[in-house]
Amino acid sequence: METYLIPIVAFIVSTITVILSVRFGNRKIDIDYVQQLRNRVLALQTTLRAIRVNELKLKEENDQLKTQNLDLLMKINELTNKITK
Amino acid sequence: MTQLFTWYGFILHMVWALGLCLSPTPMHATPLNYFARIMGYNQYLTAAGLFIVSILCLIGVILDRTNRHDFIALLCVIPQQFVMIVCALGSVMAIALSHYADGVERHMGFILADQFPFIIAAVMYTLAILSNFGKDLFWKHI
Repeated sequence: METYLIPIVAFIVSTITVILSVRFGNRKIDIDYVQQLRNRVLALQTTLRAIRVNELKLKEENDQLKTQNLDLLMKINELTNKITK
Repeated sequence: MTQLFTWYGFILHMVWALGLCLSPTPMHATPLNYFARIMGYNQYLTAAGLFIVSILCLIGVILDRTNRHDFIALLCVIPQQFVMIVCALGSVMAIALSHYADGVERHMGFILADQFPFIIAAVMYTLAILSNFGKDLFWKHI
């Protein structure tokens, strides 16, 4: 009788162990996936920095063009005044 | 800590398997006796069973270290737990009956002192599996 009882008890204990492990197990983080996410974040940060640098350059160019535009308008104004005189 | 117990089980079962390859007499050792009965008292089948269980356990350790395939790693270490529990329960039977599996009679206390390492190993192995694969069972309620 004990020949059957012992493996049955062992099987029950093993089954309970599996059930408890699955029920209370932490889902372990996939290290490769985390590394991939980190690399993507770094790449996006680099792109964002490049976009900001570009934005600053374009702002500077815009300001220069505005200044040039004002100068040209003033010259046009002067010339118009001379012509009307 | 889990892996220490796993290595303990791996080495123990491999040595038992090796012993069985050399001679059938280890089948009458108390911790091994009930497992040998399950395997039909076949020397080589018992050795093969122990060998397979040890290799599966090793695979489970490797998979666990890679942090992938948790469920498969768990299933790989469970057969060794089953064997350890069978061995432990065999020792419990020997203590209860006051005689070893080979028929040698001794006082219950004597057999308890002799066989207790196998019983505590099975308990600690089960706790090690739960603490590794079922962390929230221990830590969630703190």
